[in-house]
Amino acid sequence: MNTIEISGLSKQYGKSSVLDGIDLSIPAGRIVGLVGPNGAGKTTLLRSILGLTDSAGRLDVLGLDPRTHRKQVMRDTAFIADTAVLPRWMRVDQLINFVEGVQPNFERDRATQFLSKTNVKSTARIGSLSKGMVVQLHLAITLAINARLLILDEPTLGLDILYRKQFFDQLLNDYFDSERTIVISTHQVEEVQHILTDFIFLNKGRLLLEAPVSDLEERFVELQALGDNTAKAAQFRYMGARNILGGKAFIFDQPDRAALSALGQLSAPSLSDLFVAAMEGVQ
Amino acid sequence: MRPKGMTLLSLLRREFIEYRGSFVMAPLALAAVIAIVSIAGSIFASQFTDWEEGLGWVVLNHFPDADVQIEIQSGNGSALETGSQRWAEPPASAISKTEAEEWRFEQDWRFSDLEPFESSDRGPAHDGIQGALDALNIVFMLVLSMITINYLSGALFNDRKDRSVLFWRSMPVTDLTEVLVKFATIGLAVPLVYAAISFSLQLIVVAAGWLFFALRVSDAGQVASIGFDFGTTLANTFLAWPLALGIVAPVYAWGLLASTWASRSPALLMFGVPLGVVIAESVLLNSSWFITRIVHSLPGARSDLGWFQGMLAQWAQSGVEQLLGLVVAALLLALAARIRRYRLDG
Repeated sequence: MNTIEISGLSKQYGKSSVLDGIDLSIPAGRIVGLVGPNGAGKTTLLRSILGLTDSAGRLDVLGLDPRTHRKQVMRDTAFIADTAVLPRWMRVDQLINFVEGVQPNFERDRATQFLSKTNVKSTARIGSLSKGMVVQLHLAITLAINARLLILDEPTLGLDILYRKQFFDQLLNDYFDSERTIVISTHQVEEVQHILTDFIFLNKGRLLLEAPVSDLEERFVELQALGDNTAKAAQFRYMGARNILGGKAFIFDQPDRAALSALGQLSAPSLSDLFVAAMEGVQ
Repeated sequence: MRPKGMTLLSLLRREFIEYRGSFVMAPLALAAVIAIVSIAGSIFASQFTDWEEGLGWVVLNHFPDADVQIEIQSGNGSALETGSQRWAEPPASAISKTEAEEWRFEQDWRFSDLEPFESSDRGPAHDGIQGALDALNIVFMLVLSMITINYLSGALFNDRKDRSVLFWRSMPVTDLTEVLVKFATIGLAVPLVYAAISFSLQLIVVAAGWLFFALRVSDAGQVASIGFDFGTTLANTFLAWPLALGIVAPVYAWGLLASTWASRSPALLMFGVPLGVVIAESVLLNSSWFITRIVHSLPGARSDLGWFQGMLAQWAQSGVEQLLGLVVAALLLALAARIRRYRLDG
């Protein structure tokens, strides 16, 4: 059974379509990166998965429809929206008490253990913590929930690079296993690429591309064509291109590698370059 | 094994943490001030008279050139004492007599209102000190009313404004549970806290009253007859509120609906919509049905009977309407939960 199974998911605000017939399957044991420009519908898609927004179409999360069984879905789901959503008027220990009281899958000892490695004091008021410490607290609470699905919507927004790296390392080391699924929406594609198993490109409410990260090596090719080879490479059907010193870098989807290799150096594209190329393809 | 009801308790505790100032600290501070004034008053009341005597003597005898004219006015405006005739230094014999003789409060003071408990025709709630205790309770109810308006307008709005709603919604709690806990918080739990503090204060005030007389009156019967009735006090403070909640439920439910419905100003919605309906009905239909319903949903319409008896009378008078009010409250709460479900932005 897939952790998330979506078909024909649509959402409209007035006359504008935010999600337009999304079909998506995410099995257990995957870390999926949701990538898209602002207004692509990433947050709406994630909120639909959590049952936080109304939508049309079939939606199955952990075997349940979150629109009608949100409470049951949230027992096995953890969610970090962004760094600013913890209640600032609460103390750390009060927050932990609260989560312990309402979330049956919360392990207090684990949360305490995570927090003991940080500078976050249990008696501190959340409003007095730095942004990075708030994220550490939120992550400690989230990782202490024995959840099968973790949804992260721009979780490291506004954090410096050290906190961002620490965040994703901890996610990988202390949370992820073959039974759990993580869906991450982020603009910092380069920083999460190394932990992803799959990626999804979303634009204007539509699924642009859905593939495993291994396809960056196997399916997609970046050609760096210089001089006269630039014009020759442009004759092949490419997804996108960008200027480089003395030529152009082209990204191809399932190309004839032998034919391209004569025109320049071939390599696997980065996720961010592939995203830009995919966006060019729809413009 | 996780105890049942832990979720509800945690949600309730959350409300008390967020609104600790208005739910706990405000009534405690109010009670502390009144208690201190009551106790101090019972102990030092006569000292003010002694102090006034001393002040007059000092002014006139130590500052003879000041040409001060002191006039004491009685309640009807007639002059009692003027100039130096009252505060001339008393002869030594008089001073020694005053010091030697024990001053007896009950010889100088008479209390015309100390009637037996059953003798009043205004209902038992207003006999003796009972009326004062009711007044104290009403002070707490007024404070409670103010914090209730504040709470209702912010309960389902503030977390959308500061975006913490996204954290609360990441927990396995249904929207209806959340709304009902907020309703129970302001409808039952907070009034219970206020009642407990108010009741404790009333006991302190009664004790202060007893102390006042005990210090000054030798007659034990007079001390005991200040008109305090434990049962009435208990009923007025604790038992009246559940009855009152039944009456006020639609108003509270509307407040929560406005709080979750509003995108900018819940208070404006909370008061503006009913006001608009009242005006529209008055202008278009020339009737006052809606305002009458609102008035009937406010407790205390029969406060002349005392808080508890008043609630009973209100229920007896319009029981069917109050029951219909409960149905309306249930519908409004269900609607609030429904709207809350997908409303994340403030």
